[in-house]
Amino acid sequence: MPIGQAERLPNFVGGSYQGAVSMIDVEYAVNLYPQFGIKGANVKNALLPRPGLSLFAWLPQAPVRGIFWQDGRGFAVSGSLFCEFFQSGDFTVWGTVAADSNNATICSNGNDGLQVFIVSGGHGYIFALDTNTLTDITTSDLFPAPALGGAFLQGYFLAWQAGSNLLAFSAPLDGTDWTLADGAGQARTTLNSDNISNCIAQGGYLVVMGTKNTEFWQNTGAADIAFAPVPSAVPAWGLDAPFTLVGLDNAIYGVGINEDGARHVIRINGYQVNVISTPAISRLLSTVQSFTNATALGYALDGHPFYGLNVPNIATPDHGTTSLYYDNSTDIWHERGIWDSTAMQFFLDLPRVHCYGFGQHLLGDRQSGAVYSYVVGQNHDDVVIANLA
Amino acid sequence: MSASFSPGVIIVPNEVFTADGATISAADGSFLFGGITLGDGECGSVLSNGVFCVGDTTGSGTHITSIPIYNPSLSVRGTAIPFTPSGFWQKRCGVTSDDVSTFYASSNDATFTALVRSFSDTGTTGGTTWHLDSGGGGGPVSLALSEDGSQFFYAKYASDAAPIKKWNLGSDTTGGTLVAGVAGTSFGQDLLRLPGTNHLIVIATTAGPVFTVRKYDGTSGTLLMSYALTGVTHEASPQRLSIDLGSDGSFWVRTFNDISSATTKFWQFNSSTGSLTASFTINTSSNVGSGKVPFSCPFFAWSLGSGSPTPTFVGTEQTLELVRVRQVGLPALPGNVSQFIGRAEVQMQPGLGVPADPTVAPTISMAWSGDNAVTFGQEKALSLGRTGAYYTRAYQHTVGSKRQPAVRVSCSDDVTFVPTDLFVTREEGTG
Repeated sequence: MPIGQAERLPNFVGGSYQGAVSMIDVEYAVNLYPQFGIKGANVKNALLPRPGLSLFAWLPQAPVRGIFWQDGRGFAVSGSLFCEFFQSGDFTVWGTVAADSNNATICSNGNDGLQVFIVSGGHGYIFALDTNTLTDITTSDLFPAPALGGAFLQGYFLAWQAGSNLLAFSAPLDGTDWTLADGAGQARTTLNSDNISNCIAQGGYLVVMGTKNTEFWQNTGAADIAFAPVPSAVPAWGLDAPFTLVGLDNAIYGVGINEDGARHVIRINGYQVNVISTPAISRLLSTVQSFTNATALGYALDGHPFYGLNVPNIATPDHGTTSLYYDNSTDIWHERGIWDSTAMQFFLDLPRVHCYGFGQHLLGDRQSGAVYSYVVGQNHDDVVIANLA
Repeated sequence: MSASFSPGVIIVPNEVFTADGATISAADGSFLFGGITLGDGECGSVLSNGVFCVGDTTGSGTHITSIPIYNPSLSVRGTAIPFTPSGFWQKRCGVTSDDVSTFYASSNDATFTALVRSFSDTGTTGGTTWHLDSGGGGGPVSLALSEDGSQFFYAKYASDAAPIKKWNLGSDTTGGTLVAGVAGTSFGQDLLRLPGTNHLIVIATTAGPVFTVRKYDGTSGTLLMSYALTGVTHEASPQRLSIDLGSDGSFWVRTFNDISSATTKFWQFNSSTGSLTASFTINTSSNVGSGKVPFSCPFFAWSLGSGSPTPTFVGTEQTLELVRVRQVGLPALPGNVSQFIGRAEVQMQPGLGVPADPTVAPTISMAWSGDNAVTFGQEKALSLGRTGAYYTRAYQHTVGSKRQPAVRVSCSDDVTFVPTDLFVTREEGTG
């Protein structure tokens, strides 16, 4: 580059990479994310703005720990309330659920079963879509209480137990029935000895992530125990933060850990595990002792599939605590946050859970009962603030 | 937020001719929402899932013409017309349910026999009409369904010495008398069966008037509870009853004082012990209009139940600046010499203005570091131009000599900030 002439800074459009020492790199991008090689455009590279948040609904309790939309109906767990929200932003509280600081899971067996399955605070619940009644099924025969999460896969509701390696599945298309005689069952992860950290249904599998290893369970069609692991696929990666497990862009993302003791953000595609965190992001994650309260969400906007990670107490070198976002289209990390003009620092961005419903991205707040939508072109946030930290 | 019949809420439907429906807090009676259009009759019932029905007098003003059925979101899910609208279908007719999916409404025929028909939770009328004997005839009856669904309990409303009787649904025949009538005692408009039991709640009126909540065993007729409602003076408006959807162990009573003071009191009772667990009084003296609670109506209560959390809308709604920051270090020059930066320009779209005021030029801030972003100099504001000022350029002259230069560009104004490049002019510096 010729000295003395205006030159284009080659790395101006980029993401966040703050090295172990500033000599390595000091770059970061907050509330901006890079886009490269825009086909047909005059300008090929740009830093694009994170859209503004707009208040969609304000649910009665905080935080929003789970959100779900399917076939025209949207549901959320707001604190200890199970709510249905409507396109207008209005809502109805259908009942109370047990609450803890963990995410709640919500899934449905659709028109065939007319049920929504909620796991919250260790309890399981079935919400009947036809009668709008909420039933606690925690004490049902084989239900694995206290449950950590639930999913729907190939006609069955599945649930897994906290602090053990126990999985259970309901009777087909009936989450109120966890009776062995009716087709329900229980199983334990047997390929490995570690406890289940969390699970997710993806691509026809229940991906069971232990604290050290991963198993892929599938419906075998067997009469007694319908689900069994794929014996040849056992990646030696566990899940270090249970509620960072997210399905996105036909893959699975989470904060993983392995026997080497390394904590990385990983992406599981098929049976393959790839580390997607840069050394700088991995180093940042390693500065946090406990990942118990870490959460993650995933969504795609304008061709950018984002995996967003909220880790309380994580501290960037000089600009506060930010949410770490990975863009699967560029393989680059950036940061997001809300600015506290008093403390002069960023705090974690507000979205904690996400679903796509009513034709928009709906994001549950980590510190209030608000549900937001992203508004492209809006350059401020209309939000509910309970506690910035 | 909007009105709905949900945990924490008592809903009071429309008053005939006067007020719109309203919701109040089940915790303290505080007003939540008004202006809700619901049926204006004085009869109704609720299912365990919060679906409820209210008689409506539209078109007559004096007798029921239909019974709309509502979702808990207060949207209409169906309308039932089990009887031909006439003066025999009185606005205080008895309406009850099986708690699950079926309602039952009563009317009279020309001979003042009490008729009962069922309708579904979407308004489809059942094929059977029951003809309750004259013990319940001669006026509207209070009505309830036994726990097993085989019998009606019924009593002629506000009639001295009226008994509580039973009627067999299967055979359309009398089931006998449950509670014998007593001279000087009449029963109120509502007969309530507590869900999950065969116990009946009714309000008895005796001389004074003295209003007493009574609980009877629906099988033996044994009096299980009696609680005198003190301070209740208005006899003309019938005292009302409602089960509590939020607590299996509770039911509610609504009472009225004289019309001049026009206050109404809500009482919550423990179903097992009969003890009063909560009460509050609200003023309905100006019960006309969208911000008021209707005076005399059925009501439906859905408390949060004992031990349940209280809904709390956490936080305050705010508009926050969306701060965007890009920080980047500059590559070293050959020989890693000090750099003199003569000019730096951020390339982006200028002249967009601020949506709230196009005459205001948004700005970005640029700050430089000479020690790889450990410390920064003072931020410099660079204008992006008011709306239409498309020739504005965001640049800084004579940044200075830096050993390890890094730059931080930020924007907090309400403008679409999409930087595409940073151009710098630099040469070997001193130091």
